[in-house]
Amino acid sequence: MFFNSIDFAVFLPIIFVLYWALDKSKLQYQNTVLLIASYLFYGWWDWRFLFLILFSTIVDYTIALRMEQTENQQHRKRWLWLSLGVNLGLLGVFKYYNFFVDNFIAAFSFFGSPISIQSLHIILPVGISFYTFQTLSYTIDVYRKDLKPTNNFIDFAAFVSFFPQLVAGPIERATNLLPQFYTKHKFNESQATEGLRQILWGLFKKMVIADNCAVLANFTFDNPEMYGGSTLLLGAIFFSFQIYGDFSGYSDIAIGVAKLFGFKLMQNFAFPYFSRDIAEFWRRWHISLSTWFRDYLYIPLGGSRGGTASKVRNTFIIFLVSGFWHGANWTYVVWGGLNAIYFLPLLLLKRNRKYTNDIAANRYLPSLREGFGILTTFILTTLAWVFFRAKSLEAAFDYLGGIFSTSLLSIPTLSGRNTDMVVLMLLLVFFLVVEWIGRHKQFAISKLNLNPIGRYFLYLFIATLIFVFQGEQQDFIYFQF
Amino acid sequence: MKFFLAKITVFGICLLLIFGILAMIPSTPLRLGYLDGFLQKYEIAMAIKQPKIVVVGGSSVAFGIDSEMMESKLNMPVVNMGLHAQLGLSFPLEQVKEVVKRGDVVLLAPEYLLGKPTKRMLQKISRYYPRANNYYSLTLAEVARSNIEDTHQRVLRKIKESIRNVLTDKEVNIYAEDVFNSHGDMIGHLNEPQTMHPFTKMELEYRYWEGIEKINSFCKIMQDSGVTVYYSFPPYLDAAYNINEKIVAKIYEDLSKGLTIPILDQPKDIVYPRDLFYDTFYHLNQKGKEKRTQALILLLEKQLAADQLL
Repeated sequence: MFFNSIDFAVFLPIIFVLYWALDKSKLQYQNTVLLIASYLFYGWWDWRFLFLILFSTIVDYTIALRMEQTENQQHRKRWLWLSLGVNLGLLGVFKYYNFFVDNFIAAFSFFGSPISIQSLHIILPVGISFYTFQTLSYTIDVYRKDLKPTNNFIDFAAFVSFFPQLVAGPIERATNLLPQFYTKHKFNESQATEGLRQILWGLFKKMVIADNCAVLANFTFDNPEMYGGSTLLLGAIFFSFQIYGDFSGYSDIAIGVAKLFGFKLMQNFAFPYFSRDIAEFWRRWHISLSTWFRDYLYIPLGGSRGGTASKVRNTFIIFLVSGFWHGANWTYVVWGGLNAIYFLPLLLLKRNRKYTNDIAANRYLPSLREGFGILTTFILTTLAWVFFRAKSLEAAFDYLGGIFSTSLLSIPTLSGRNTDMVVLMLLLVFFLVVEWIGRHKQFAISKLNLNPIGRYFLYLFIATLIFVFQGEQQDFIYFQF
Repeated sequence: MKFFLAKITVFGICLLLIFGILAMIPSTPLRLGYLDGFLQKYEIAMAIKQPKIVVVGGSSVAFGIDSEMMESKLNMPVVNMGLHAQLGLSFPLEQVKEVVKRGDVVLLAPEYLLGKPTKRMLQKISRYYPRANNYYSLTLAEVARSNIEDTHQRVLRKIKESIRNVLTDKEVNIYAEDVFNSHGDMIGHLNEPQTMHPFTKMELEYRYWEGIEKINSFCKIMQDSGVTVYYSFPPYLDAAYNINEKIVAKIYEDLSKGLTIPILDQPKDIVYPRDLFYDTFYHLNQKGKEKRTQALILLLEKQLAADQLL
C-alpha cells in the first residue's frame, strides 16, 4: 500500500478512528489494532512476506528474552550472533545472493574456469533492509544492556512492523520507539495537527517534486547519448531532487502518520541540500541510517580515534557498507566509496565538525562563503548520485563523460518537454524557498510564523498545488532497499 | 478530538470548493485532439463499400503505414485504424468488428505485448467516440477517478499553455491538431524535425501474451464473416531491439506456435536505425514509413496471391 494511494487514504482514517475509539480501554487493544493494521498494510503488497517479518519478530523476541535470562557473557554473545546470523542471513539470501553468485561466476570465468551456480528467482521483500536493521538494533541494545527486553509479544511485534515506518524508515532505535508502545497515548490535538501538516508537505515533496523530476531525469538517464552535457547535468540535478523529494517525502509522511497515533519518530532529513560541506550533508541525510551505522559499526570499529590508517579504514568501511546496504550492485558501492573520498579530507584535516551550527542563523540569506559551500556540496552530491541512479558502472561513466563534454556550456533542452522543464523549475523554486524559510524546523511548514488565516491559505495552496501539479505516480525509490 | 475532526472537515470542504472551481475550466473542444482520430477512422472505414484492407494496431500503425502507397500497389482501398497503444488490443479489435465486411482483409500489427487499456483512456475516448461505450463499462468509482484526473489534466494544460505562450521557443505538439489524412494515416509529424522522446520504457518484460488468445478468437469470428486476417510485427528501433532481443525472440516463438493466422514477417525484418524514426522507438518518420510500407506491400502481395485474394 503506497502512502500516495486511494487505498491508503481509506485505510488511514479507519485505523485512526479504531485506534482512538479504544483510548479508554486497555493499552493492549490499541497496540493490537496497530499490529493488525501494520500486517494488513505490509501484506497488501504480497501476503507471503508476512511470514518473513513474523519469523524475524519471533526470533528476535525469543533471543532477547534468552539474553536477559543469562548473565553469562559468552552465552549472551552467542545469542547475539544468532540474531545477527538469522537477520543478516535472511537479508543476504533475499537481497544479495544473486549478486554474489553473479560475481563469483564472473570472477571464475575471468580466470578461465567457468562455473555454474543456480541463481534464485525470488522477489525482494519490500523494506527488508529497514526492518532488519530495526530489529537488529533491539537485540544489540539488549545485549549491551541499554534496553530491557519486552515480555509482551504484541508490543514487540507492533514495534517491528509499525506501519508508518515499516517499509522505508526512519529506522527507529528500539530504545526510542519500543517504550512508546508501553505507555498509553492520549489524543493530542496539536500533535495530530502537526502530523497532518507534515503529511501534507511530504505528499508535496513526493507527488509534485519527486514524481515530476523523475519523468525528466528518466529521459536523460535512459538515453544519455541523445542529450548534450548541460541537459545531462540538468537531468542529474533533477534526480538529486527526485531522490530527496521521494525519500524525505516518505519520511515526512511516515513521521506525520505516526504523530496521528501519538508516536514520535526520529527526524530523518534535516534540509541536506543546504549543507555547507559533505560532513554536514551526512549529518542531515538519512539520519536514521547514518546514526545506525555510526552507533553499531563505526564506533565499535574505533570511530575516528586511532591513527590515520584506522580513520581511513573506518571511514571507507562505513561508506562502502552504507552503499552496499542500498542495493546489490557495484554502482551503490562506488557511490559509497565516492562519498568516502569526499568526506576523508575533512576528517583528516579535522574539519568534519566545522558546520554544526544553524545555516545562515538570524539571517535571510547565506553569506557568500556559505552559499559557495552549499553550491559545491550540492554539485558533489549530484555527481555522486549519477552512480546511484545509473544501471551499471559503465552507464554511470558514460553519463559523466556526457556531462563533461563541450556541450556542457550550451543551453539545456529537452525537445518537446521544455514547458514541463520550466514548470518544474518554477515548482523547485517554490519548494526551495519554503524549505529555506523553514530550515531551522523539523520540517519546512512546521509552526509557521503566520497568522492562522494565512497559514490556512498556505495549506490550501499546497494541497491545490499537489492536485494540479502531481506527476505521473512513481514507486518510492527506497522501497527497493 | 471533535475539534480536530471539525478542522479536517472544514479543510476538506474548502478543498472540494477549490476543485469544483477548477473543474469548471472548460475542456478541450471536441474534434481537435489526436484521439478524435478514432471517429475519423471509423467514418473512413464505414464509407468504403468495396473489399478493403484494414490495418490495426496502436500508434506504430498510425505513424508507420502509407495507406495511399499500399492502395495504389495492391489496388484495394486501405484504411489505417491504428491510434494509441494505451487503448490495448481488445478495443481496436472490437472497433474493427464493426467496420469490416465479407471480402475485407485485416492486417494486425500491434506493438509488443500490448496490454489492457487504461481506464482513463477509455473514459476519455468515449467522450470523442460514444460508440466506445459498447465495448466496455466503467464502475462509478472509475468514472469519478477519471473525471478527477481529467480536471487535473485540464488545469495543468491551461497553465502550460500560458507558459508556452511566454516562451520564445514554441513547441510543436503534433498530437493536438487534426493530424490524419483521408486514409487515417498520421501525417502531422511528417514536416517536423526528428525528436526522440523515450516516453515509454524501452525494456520489455517477458510474459506469455494474453493477446494471442484474443487474436485467435477474433480471427474465428472474422473467418466466419468471410474476412481474412494476417499478422505483422511492429517496426522497432534497433537500440530497443538490441536490449530486448531475447524477449522478442520468445514472443515470436509464442506467436508462431499460438496464432492461427499467417504471420507475414519476423521481428528482425522490421528493425530500423534511428534516422527512420520520429519521436519514440515505434513511431516512424516519412522515410521509415516508406520503407516499412514497401516491405509490407511485397509481403501482402505474396500472401494475398497465395490466398487468391488479389
